[in-house]
This record gives sequence, structure tokens and C-alpha cells, in this order.
Amino acid sequence: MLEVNAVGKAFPVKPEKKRDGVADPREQGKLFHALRNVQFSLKKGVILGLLGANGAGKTTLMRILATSLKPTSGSVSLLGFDIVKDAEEVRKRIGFLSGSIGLYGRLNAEELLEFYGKLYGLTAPVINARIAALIDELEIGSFAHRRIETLSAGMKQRVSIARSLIHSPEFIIFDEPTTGLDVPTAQVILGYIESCRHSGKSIIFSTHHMHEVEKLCDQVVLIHQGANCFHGSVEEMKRTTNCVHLDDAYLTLTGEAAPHAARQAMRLAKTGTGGRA
Amino acid sequence: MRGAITIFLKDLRETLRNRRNLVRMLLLPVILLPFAGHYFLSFTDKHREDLRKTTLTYAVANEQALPDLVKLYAEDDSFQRVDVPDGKVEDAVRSKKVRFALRIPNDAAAKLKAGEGVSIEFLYFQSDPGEAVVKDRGTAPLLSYSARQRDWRLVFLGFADEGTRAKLLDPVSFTVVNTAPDRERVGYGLGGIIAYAFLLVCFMGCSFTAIDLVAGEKERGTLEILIMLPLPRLQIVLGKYFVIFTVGLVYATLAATSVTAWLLYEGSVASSQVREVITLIKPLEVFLLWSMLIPVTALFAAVVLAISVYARSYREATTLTGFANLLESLLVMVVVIPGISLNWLWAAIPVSNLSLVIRELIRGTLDNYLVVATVFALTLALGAALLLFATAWFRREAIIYSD
Repeated sequence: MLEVNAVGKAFPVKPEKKRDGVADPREQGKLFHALRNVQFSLKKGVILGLLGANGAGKTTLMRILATSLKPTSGSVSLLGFDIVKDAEEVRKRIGFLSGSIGLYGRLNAEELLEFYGKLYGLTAPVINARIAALIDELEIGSFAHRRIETLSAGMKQRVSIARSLIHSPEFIIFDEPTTGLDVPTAQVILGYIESCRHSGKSIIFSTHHMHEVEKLCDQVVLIHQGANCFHGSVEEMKRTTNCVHLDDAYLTLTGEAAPHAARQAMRLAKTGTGGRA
Repeated sequence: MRGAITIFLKDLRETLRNRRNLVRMLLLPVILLPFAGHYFLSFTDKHREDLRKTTLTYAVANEQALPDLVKLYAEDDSFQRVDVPDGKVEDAVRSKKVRFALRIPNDAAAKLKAGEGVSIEFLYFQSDPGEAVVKDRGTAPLLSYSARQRDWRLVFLGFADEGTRAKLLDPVSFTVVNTAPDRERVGYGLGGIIAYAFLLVCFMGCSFTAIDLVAGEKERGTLEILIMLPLPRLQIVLGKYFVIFTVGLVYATLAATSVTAWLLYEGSVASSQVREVITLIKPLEVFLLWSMLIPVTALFAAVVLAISVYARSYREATTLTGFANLLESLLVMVVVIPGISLNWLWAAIPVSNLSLVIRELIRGTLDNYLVVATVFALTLALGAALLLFATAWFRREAIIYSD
């Protein structure tokens, strides 16, 4: 379904963004290599968690998969289409939820979903049926007729997710869908992601919450400084690093485990328990 | 084109739901423009009228040198003498203690008696053209005194008859007749003002909308979603372009209607010439005038759209639009520069050509329709080129992701 082959992405470095004295191995000459040789594949009906620190390259990778950025090297095949050559075909089949909510404040949820439905070329009856289904699944009904600018962050996020799913995409990309949300709203969203697995959709979602990864993800890709340093299941990630908890495995793989190990040692000294296997 | 139409309808709906947009749309062209014009005209008229009626203060240096001249001023109720030391009259005028002053030479009476010429200084302060009234009123007794002296001399020389004196002084008399019709004369200034107001309002209408629809959407993250849809970029650009064009045209039409209504009102209460000029404009010319707003708006919408696509942020778009507004104002200003008329050279200069066409339409002097057609075609071609530039620029990754 998804084949990511040695994908790289470089951006020109703006002089004003150069940081004196801070060495970043990804900055080479006038280019900043946001992604280097990223490689993984994904099958139908699989949920993949994309992990990595802020600035690691997760959003760049997701934007490449969503066709808004072109890779500078390598290739990506999604549902049998090349994301550069057949970008329009890919766009018809993917749903993308960006990190920013990106909604039109002066429309209400129904109007917004209708607008995107039309742009995806859906007919009026299909749009109406999809709107009704999404309003039900994401529990939007109580505020579907309110202007989006008057909604809370959680309500907006639900509308945003509905927007990305209006055309029933086969492949879904969610960039940090639960960041900044209260627990009940996050639960609704995670529940919806879970339900997508059963309908045979593939999902890539980025997150910093390890419990979400443990609960939902069949596979994990860990991006560190633009390169993927791990690809496999959650269990494999723990086994490889010899850790009980996923966050310890994450820190071990990214080489940031030392401070944490110190905290672990302190906790162990106080309580006599530790997380590391 | 279905995508472009869907984007157009959605953006138009959002624009009309923005209360600020509606307030701007009504406030600027419908209310502010006619009110500003009304107060500008009435203030100018009132200032002139005040100067005509007000008592002018004056001072005299060396009054003993020509007492009969000083008496003439003293007898005029519209002047009021202020005592100022002889050496300080110029300072008194400069500091506006008095409106004008006379400086009479010591030997004035002796020279007049000897049949020689005398030069009297009339001092006044004029930095504003409206103050010319002070000079006209203040020198009137001087001119009358000079005429009286001249008559006495002529009588002394034996020309006692007034008719003979007149023929001697003005052997050739002439009457000035301006054959230019009122519409052409008054329409020159009026047309310039209207062209300037229309173009300015139209540009502002386009720029408010473009900045919000493109640069604003970049910042709000909605443009990123749009470019991930299975839509050609041209359709996104066209959808936005037609909203900017529609709003700009509404602004310009509202401005045109309210300014015309205001001018009719001004004409009925103040100058009959303005009213006459407006009533002389035929319906076809009104339609032509309005139809000139179409290429104007088409061009401005393309300019501000290209700027908004090019700009990396809302702030940058606002700054760049400010520069474009300045450039547009300079190009429109040719309508108020004397001696510039619509010819092939000016027809080739964007924006200036449109403002000249509008002025000539109001003056009723537009007869070269080939030039008008050229201006129309050039403007639309320039608009199309800018639209293509905006579309090409829109395809760049860096435009969406400035970070």
C-alpha cells in the first residue's frame, strides 16, 4: 500500500535562520537535510505511529506523503501511484490532518464539510450521507450549526478530522491529532482511529504520547534527526532496546536515555522499583 | 472550473460574513468619500467667504508721507488700523498681527508733486492660495488712489474729458471669451477627482480581500489543506481571484454611485456648474464609465493577488500592498497634472491610462475609441499576465511553507 524508498528532503538554509555555534549534522553548506534516506513500508489496515522529537522531520515526511512537498531524493508509492507523477490521484485517496487546525472560522461544520466534499468531486447525496455519518461518529451534532470560530479547541479538532475524512480516504495521515485536547475529546479521536483499522484503512499518525502508540499502533517508525532509526512493531521496539516501557525504548533509540537513566536510578533508590528490564 | 466556482462561492460567503469587511465596504465608499468631499468643499468655500467678509487689520509706515492715501484706508469700514511702529510693520505682517501693511517712502508727496513715480510697498503674508483675497482687497484703495493721481495729471495736461482719457490710456481694448464648454472646463477638475477616488477605493477593496484570502489563509493553515486537494492550482487561484474582483467591483460601484449622488446634491446647493456637468453626462457615458471599472478592478485584483501569493506572511502582504498603493496613487495622479491628455503614449502606461479615460469620459471629450479599446485590452492582458505569475508562484513549496 505504501512504499517509502530512500526518501530525502533538503531545504535551502535561510541566512536569518542560521544559528551561531549550534552544530546540526543535517545542515550541509547551503542546504538543510530535513530527511535523509527514510525507508519503510505499510500494508492495508495497519496503523503506524510516527515518533520523533520536535524538528526531527515527522511533519516534513507527512507533507511529502500528502503531496504538498516533493522529495529531493528517493520515491514514494502510495496505493500504486507515484506521489510526484500521480499527485492528483494520490490526493483523491488520502486524508490529511495538519498540525494547525486549518478551518474556516466563519463557516459552520456542515458548510465546511460540504465545501470540501464538493472539492473532492462528491455528489450532493454522497456528501449529505458522509456529513451525517461523520457528525455521528465524531459526536459533532450538538455544534454542527455553530460557526467554527466560536468552538473550543477540542470541537475544532473533531471538525478538522471530519474534514480530512469527508471523501472516505483509503489512507489517512494525522499530524498530532490529540495534542492540546482534553481527555474525553482525545478518547473520541483515538476511538475513531481504532475504528478505521476495522474498515481496512491505513493510518499514519504522529504523536508524542507513548500510551497512544501502545494502545493503537501496529507499527512504529522513529525519526531522529531526519533519518528513521527504527521501523517495526511496538513489541519489537521494546525488545530491541531491552526496555519495558515504550518511552524508555524511545529515549534509548534516540540516544537521549542518559538523563532519564539518572532519574530512573533516583526513583529506584527511593522506591526500590525501576522500569528498565 | 467546478473547483474554482466552489472556492469562489465559499470565499464570497466568508467575506460577506466578516462584519469588518461589510463595515469597510459601506463606510469607505458610501459614507466616508462623499462626506470627506462635502467637508473639503464647504471648508474651502467658507474660508474664502470668511476672508471676503472679515475686517482686515493693517498697519502703515510713514503715514505722514501720504495722508490722503491713508485717509482712503481709514474711511473703509472693512479695514481696521493697528498701531505699529514704522520699523516693525514687516514683523507685524509676518507674525500675523496685521493682515497687510503699507510702507510709504518719505519723499512720496514731493515726488508726486514733481510728477514723478512713487513706489509704495504692500506687504502681506500668503502661503496658501486661498489668502490671495487679502491682496485683492488690500490693494483696491491703492489702485483707486493711483487712478485718481493719474486722472489729475491728465487733467493738468489738458485731457479733461473722461472719454478722451480712457482712449488715451487704453487705445486697444479687448474682451476675453473662453469658448470651452462648461462640461469640458469643469469636467477637467471634476473628472480628475472622480478618477482618483474611484481607483483608490477600488484598489483598497481588492487589497483588503486579497490579503485575507491568501496571506491570511497561509497563516491560518487553510491554504495548505487546499493545495492537498485534487485540484489544479489554477482553479484555486481563479476562485480567489474572482472573489477579489467581485468585492473590488462592488467597492468601486458603490463609490461611483455615492460620489454621483453627492455631486448632484452639491450641485443643487452650491455650484450650478457642477450640476450642469453631471446632468450633461449621457446614460451611455455613465455605462462606459462603469464599464471602465471592470478592467481597473481586473488589474488591481491581479496585482494584489500576486502580491498576497508572493508574500510569506500577512504582515509582508500588508507592507507590499502599501507600496503598490503608493505606486498606484502616483500613476493615477497624472489626471491632475496640467497638460497631460490621453494619447498613444499615455495609453501605454498602466493605471494612468485608465484614470485619463475616466477623466475624458466625464469631460465629454473622449472621441478616440481605438485608444480606449487599446487601454482596455492592455489592462486585461496585464491582469492576465499577473494572474499567470500568481499561479506559477503558487506552485512553489516555499510559498505555502515559509517556515
